[in-house]
Amino acid sequence: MNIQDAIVQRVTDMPMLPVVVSRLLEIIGEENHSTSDVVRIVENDPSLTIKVLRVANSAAFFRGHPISTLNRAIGLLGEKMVADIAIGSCTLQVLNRPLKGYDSAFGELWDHSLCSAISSREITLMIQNGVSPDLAFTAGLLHDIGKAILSEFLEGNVEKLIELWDQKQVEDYLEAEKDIVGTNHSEVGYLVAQHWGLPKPLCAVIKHHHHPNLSDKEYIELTYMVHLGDIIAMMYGSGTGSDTMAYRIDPEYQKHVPISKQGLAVLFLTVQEKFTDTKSSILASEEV
Amino acid sequence: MFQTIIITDDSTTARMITKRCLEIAGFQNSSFLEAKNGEEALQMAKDNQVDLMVIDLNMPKMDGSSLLKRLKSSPRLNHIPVLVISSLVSEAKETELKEQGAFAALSKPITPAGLSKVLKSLSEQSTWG
Repeated sequence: MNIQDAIVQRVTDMPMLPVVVSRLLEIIGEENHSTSDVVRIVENDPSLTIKVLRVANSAAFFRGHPISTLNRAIGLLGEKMVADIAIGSCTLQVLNRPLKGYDSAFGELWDHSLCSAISSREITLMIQNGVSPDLAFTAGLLHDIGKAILSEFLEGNVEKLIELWDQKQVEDYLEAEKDIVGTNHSEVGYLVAQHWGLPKPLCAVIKHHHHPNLSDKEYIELTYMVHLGDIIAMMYGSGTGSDTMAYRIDPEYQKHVPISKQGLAVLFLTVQEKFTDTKSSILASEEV
Repeated sequence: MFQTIIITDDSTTARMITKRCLEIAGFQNSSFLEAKNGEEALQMAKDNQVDLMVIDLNMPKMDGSSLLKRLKSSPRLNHIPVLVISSLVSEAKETELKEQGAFAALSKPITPAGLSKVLKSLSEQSTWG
């Protein structure tokens, strides 16, 4: 079996997502959904409800009286935080792993994904062009899912990958990955997205987040937002090892994501603050 | 300013990230030399005209603290500004490193903005000093 067939086989062998996660992602992919729709899914899933209650009763939020109902937890945390906990904890299991093929430690992929998710959402809130903030958050979380698979096939090649990029033999790290294994993490991520039956906008972002100009017209704004969110996360110091800052920013991004230099500075500060809060809430939801 | 920079870290990935951060921070025209440990870095500093050294603390053979001491005790090399980078630099550690001769110490992960800030302050000190 050649390496590309082995990668396809590895994707095919991946377990399907739990029903509640698929439903959650399906809702988020729908145009005009609201955060309340996400909360309704949490209400109907005991395991997600328990996670939210854990956060509401964690040291950071505890107000002297135990919170035992979801409604009270929503009152305390807000719908947006409840949605973040649901989406974040669902993806944590897949993304919270070391990437040996990228020389990236345990936790870095998830940190980078979460930081990109928050950056992407903050961009939607800043420019208000009709792209759903929840969708941008989720797309940001999942954009690098392909690395979770590709990493094992890149193991032992980190120095060669770095050399290819450093000596300018390739345009970016995607091309270096392709040189070594014949495919890249965007293409592998797209295979995973299809295997899981993810909604179309998420598939488009995963496939084109490094070359957003190639994305489907319908999802081009969303793809540009995650493209920028990804770069912001790396500039913030949250990368995934050897490919950190080894991609080019699309020079056309300002046409699709019109943010001034001053706006970017504000965005940096907002992301910094929200990343710490959201990360600790999602991790609190997982504590036993 | 900083025409030749030595980056010292035992991890290839960490050296590469430091180099990319420096390039984004405005030093894209600098020449970068890479060393895997203190011994290599010391030799490179002796063999080249060096304007800046960025060193990690935890390295095999000769660690960052030992390298810093060797550099600062050498009349030939003690003029080279040294920036220390490490996993977690407490205030006390930063003070200790500055007393040993480093001009600044940064915690990992480093960012282009963080590097730009400390290097700008160093270049201003040089201008006025």
